[in-house]
Amino acid sequence: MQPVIEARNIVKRYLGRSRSADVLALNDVSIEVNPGDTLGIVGESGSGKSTLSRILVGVESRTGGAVFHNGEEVSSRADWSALRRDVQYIFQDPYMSLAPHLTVGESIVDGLEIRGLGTPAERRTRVAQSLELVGLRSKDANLYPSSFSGGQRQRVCIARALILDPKVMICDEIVSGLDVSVQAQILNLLVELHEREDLGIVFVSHDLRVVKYLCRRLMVMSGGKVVEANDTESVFRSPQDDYTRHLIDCVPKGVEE
Amino acid sequence: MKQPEKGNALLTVSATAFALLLMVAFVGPFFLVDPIQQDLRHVLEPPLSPNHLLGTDALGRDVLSRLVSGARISLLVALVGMMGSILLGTIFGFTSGTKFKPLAWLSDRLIDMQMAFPYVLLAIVIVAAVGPSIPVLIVLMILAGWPSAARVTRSIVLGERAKDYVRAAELVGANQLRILTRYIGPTVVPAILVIAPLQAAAMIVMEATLSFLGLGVQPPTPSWGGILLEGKPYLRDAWWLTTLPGLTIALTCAVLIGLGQGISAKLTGNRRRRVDVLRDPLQGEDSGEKIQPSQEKGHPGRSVERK
Amino acid sequence: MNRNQASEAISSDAEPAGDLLVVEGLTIELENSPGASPIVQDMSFRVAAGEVVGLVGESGSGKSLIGLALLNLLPDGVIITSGKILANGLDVLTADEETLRKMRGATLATVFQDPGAALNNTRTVRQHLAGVLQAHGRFSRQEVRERSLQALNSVGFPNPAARCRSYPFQLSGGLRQRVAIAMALINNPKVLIADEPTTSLDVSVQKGILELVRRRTIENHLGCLFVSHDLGVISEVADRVIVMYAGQKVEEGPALSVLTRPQHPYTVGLIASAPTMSSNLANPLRPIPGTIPPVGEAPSGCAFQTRCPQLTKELCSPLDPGWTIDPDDSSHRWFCYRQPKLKSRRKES
Repeated sequence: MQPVIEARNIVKRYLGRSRSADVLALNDVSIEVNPGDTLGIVGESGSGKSTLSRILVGVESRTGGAVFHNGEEVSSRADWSALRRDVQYIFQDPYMSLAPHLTVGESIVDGLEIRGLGTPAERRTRVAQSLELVGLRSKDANLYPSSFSGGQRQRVCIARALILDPKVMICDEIVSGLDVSVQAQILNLLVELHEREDLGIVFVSHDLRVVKYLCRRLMVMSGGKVVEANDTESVFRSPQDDYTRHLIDCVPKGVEE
Repeated sequence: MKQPEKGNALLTVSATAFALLLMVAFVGPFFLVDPIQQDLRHVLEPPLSPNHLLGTDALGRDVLSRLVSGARISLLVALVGMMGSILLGTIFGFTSGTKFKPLAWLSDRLIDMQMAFPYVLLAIVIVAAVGPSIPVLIVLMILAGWPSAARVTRSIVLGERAKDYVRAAELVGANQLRILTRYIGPTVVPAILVIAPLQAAAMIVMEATLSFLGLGVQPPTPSWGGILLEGKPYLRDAWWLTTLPGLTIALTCAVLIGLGQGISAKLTGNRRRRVDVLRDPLQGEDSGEKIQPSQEKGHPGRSVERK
Repeated sequence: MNRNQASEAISSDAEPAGDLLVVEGLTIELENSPGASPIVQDMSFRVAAGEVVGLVGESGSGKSLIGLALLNLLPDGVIITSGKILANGLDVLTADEETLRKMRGATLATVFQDPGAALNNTRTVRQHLAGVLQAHGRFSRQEVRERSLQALNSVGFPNPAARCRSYPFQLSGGLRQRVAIAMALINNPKVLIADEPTTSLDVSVQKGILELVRRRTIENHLGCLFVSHDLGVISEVADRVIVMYAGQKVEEGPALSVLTRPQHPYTVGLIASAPTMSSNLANPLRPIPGTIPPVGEAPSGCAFQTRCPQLTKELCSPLDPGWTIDPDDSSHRWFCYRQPKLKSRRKES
């Protein structure tokens, strides 16, 4: 089975005033996502996990390495366009990722309009369906983002991503700013989407607990490198790397221990 | 809460004053004496003379009538100039904000060049070349005013472009044109609405300045700057010939600036969430976003009872 | 008997003399909004010396305002309509501005979520500490220097003598927070309010800060109020826990009791929806259905009734309820409007 999206030997360098001041945000990182995967990318700040996720969809440029879509290297604008039909991305801040002057329905439908998919009536139906799919009401389409809470806005963003029928959805810290109960709702939604629609999920987070819950495979990053990558159970049962062990150790355990 | 109320009061007062001003300027002349009519028997009469509420000038012309006619010209020129400069400025603002670097760079340099050039000097040069007239005056005002509109637009475009919702639009396939028209464009409108009256105020002053220097509206067509110019020799003896036009200009500017502030306050009031002081420290989470029914799933409806 | 009286009656057997922070019947409301529910309703609690009290709640619970209220620094449009706050015996709400000023930073210190907000990027760490000291007393240069170094040492700031000349932007988030804590502790306060101090920090940094807060609380005999939304963090740092929902206190007790044997339906729901190291898909998270009511729109009576899986209409209506007390642990109590037919005693009015 071919990975839907793959990145090989990605390097991202931010130039400083001198060579020694350069920052190597990503240093030879490779990753592959197969259909139906649930992959977690875990790391602390500065690990490069968000940069990597943005490079995968071309929201950020890379200094070195290559991105592959269905086995073919992605280089031209058309290639990226094709990649984005299969891979969608959800941003961290639900308050900034929706245009405040467009209704939720207008934001969601734009992907379809741009590609000229369906008649206006069909598009309206698809918008309604995608809203229901994420647990909102179809008539919410006429509301502006300001009528929604953070968790609901994230659902809208998920709906916007889903309407294009992607195979993989990359979620960059999407629940980090949300209340615990809202977070749980979104996580369960992702689980449901994965099980029902066979949606592949790449979940970037600093919270090991969340990633452990959601993802079958896990990649631990630190300082721009992948320090460990394996299936989640193995990583937690017998972590191979010191940093992984340290990270697991620092997670607040709660009183169940 | 006081803030939104103040904005609304300012807006209402300024808007009313501006409407009155427009009415007086365009309808007034029909009810007043001919501004060009000279009456050498009643020269340099002070305000509150019989038949001449604001006095007469050196040629016996009624000052009030001249001021009202001058208003027509001055306001017309300022408003047309404002619209032109905003149009040109917005276009350049968008050009400066494109992703296509060479075009953005060129646009920025043009803005810089225009801003560096003092407009009076420019006026002198142009008027010397083609002669003074009202169209030339309007062109001058557009040239002087467009850079500030461009900078405002540019700063908004650049600011919005960095935001996630624009990236998200790119991810679903929007091209640059769509981004500018559907996503970023509408956010520029409120800012433009705020600076438009302010630009108009600046142009009132500009027109007065240029006419005062003899580069603008030519006599005998009355304009505020022209009236000032004519009153200059009589500064000591007939104070009303300069003070009154000066006051009129100042008042008109105050009204326009008030209008701009009022619009600004109203827009900020709309945007600011009423209880955003209660935002939880949790990044982005809203503990009290709006005291309005929000369409929350599962919420069975208000049940706040009076205690 | 309302919450306040019940709470006081029950806790009158606790030693009031040892309580550094006493809050009674605190109600915070929106100004000019008649009919809106209070943001904080009838809140009472105590913090004794050497203990960390964790205040848990989600957004809309009002927990973040309590910290500000304790300093009498609520933002415009939000006022305290009733209640009493005693910080080390001093009545905060009736004190004049000068007394309050002396108290803030000295008796009652705060650490907020964003260390960047407490620190000025144009001043060095040394200058920050000197500033805090000099706001509350006159010290010689030597004394300032010594106390600053001591404060930095006590928070584990590495190599203070050299690095105290650093500017905040040269420091990592964790180090900045340590500086903020040093600033809070340098005047030997009696009460420390920590409002989500580790939320914006990495997990490995967080661990160090939590240990630091606990250690300082115990060694300096402080009373610490630790506000957080993260149950895991609370369980690591707090001795006692208070759970809030939509402005109401719903459960309180020793951390172990509340977190392992939660009784109030909201606490139960909260714990069930929080992912832990032992959650997995076989044991799915069970989120609480519905959403938190917007500020000012909580239903009267039990705020949780719109989402409670154990809602019984007749019982959850606005009666004056009492506290239900855990028969195994009298300091663990929860405030549920239902009149449960449990084995536990119900305190009679």
